[in-house]
Amino acid sequence: MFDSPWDTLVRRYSSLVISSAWRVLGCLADAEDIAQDVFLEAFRKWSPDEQHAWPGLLRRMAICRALDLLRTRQRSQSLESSRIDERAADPSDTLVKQEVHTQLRAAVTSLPQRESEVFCLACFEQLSHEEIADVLQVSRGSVAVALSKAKSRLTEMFQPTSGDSK
Amino acid sequence: MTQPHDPFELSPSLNQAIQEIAAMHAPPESTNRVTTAVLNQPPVPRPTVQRGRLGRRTALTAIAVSCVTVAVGLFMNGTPFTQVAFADVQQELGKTHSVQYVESMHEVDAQNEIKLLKLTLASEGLVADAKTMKLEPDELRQRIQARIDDIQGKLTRGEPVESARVWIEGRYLFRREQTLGIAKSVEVLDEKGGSTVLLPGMHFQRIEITNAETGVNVHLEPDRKKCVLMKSQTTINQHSGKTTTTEIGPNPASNFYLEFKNILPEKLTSLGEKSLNGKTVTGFRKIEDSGEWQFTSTYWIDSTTKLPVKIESEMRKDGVLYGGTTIANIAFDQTIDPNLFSTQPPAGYEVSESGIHGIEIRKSDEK
Repeated sequence: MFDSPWDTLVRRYSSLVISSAWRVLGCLADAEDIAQDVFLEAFRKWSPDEQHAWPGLLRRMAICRALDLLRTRQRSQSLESSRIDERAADPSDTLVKQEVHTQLRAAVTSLPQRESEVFCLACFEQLSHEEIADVLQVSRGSVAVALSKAKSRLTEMFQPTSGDSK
Repeated sequence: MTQPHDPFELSPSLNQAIQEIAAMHAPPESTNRVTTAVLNQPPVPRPTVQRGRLGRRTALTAIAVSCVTVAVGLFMNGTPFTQVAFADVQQELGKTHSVQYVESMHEVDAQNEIKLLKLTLASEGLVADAKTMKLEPDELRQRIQARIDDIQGKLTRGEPVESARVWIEGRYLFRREQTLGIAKSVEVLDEKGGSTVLLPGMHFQRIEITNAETGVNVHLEPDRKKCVLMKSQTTINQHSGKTTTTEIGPNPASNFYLEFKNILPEKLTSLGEKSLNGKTVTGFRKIEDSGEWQFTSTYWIDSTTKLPVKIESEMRKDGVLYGGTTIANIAFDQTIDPNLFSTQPPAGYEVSESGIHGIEIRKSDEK
């Protein structure tokens, strides 16, 4: 009865926005808050007369806000002091899995902004380089370079420290 | 086209973690919660203190909160380097017995209302709305267009778009009248699980009367002849989702004058003097930064009487203007009809009690 174009957009993409934020944050309640913020911001960009690539734009807004929130929370936390030892426990253990997720998210937030965005879009959102290039309005080459750099940094971060034994 | 070769392969356990994270999808109840919160409330900015996952601040609460925020400035201290010191303003205000003023919405808020009205015009739901209102669709369209023209005309002419009138008497008595033009269909829930649908083109009037000395707080809705006695206030913890209810009673702390005096004077910046409507006024500005939101209040004080003549407030997020209010037509010690502060339900009004205060709670949201 009340579905305006705006209502339709919210109903269609709220799941996408929450999911994108949830993947970055790992906390559903925070993701819901972020989603509301994203739609508030989207409303200000909204005009029935203008066409936007809403799925990509909303996804990017959710990821950026989620990364910002994580960065704010982790400013005082040293990644160096919380390296994970991937061999320390049974990886099938749920708690260990959660810890790996948490550490991965923390590592992603420590990447430069563009690299963390590209990594989230490529790995968490499973978008192709072409789709990411469209969302970020950059070339596919730039996406590939940013993703390689991101993975390089992450590989370095998750390497065992020199004192570790094999 | 093939993707470029990626020389940096992540470890199997990290790849597994990535796949697990990528497989996370928002559960339907979460999606419903957010969709409801976004669509069932006008998309107005919210202050951080009201932030919560269960519901957005309503337009009514938004205006009330900004009123309090702005009114706080009436009693703030001044800074050096201005011809009017705040101490003088505070002293002069302390001599007054009553104040009344008009509050207007910010241009950004007015533009947002226009945007919502245009959306409603384009909505397929307009025909159904018109039917509910027993109007022809064209009649409703004309009514909505008239509201758009009214706001646009005022903005073009530089006139304020009025949103509320306020009277404060004897430190304890408070009355606020606001008329909101409904821009889109809004479903308002009541405490008994019922609901009212506010339809576009309606003018929704609400009057709030508070006696802080006796603790009586009533909300009147003249259009619907309803009187709600506010017996308690419910707040929601944004992290746990739990609700806390406190009884509304006599509360000297809600005395406006007392509250305003507690504002730290060193937060003010002097803006010097300027001419405003033929008067020489001195400006003070206060900026509060909560990290996420920035609230700016600007107070223009009559340099002769040392009383406020105009108060402007703005809310920004990351530097982006989200809205605000302007208080003007401020008049002190004018005779106010005592009946305006009567908390007795008017004759013919349906009286009810409510424990919900500006927050929408649905059963599915309760933890």
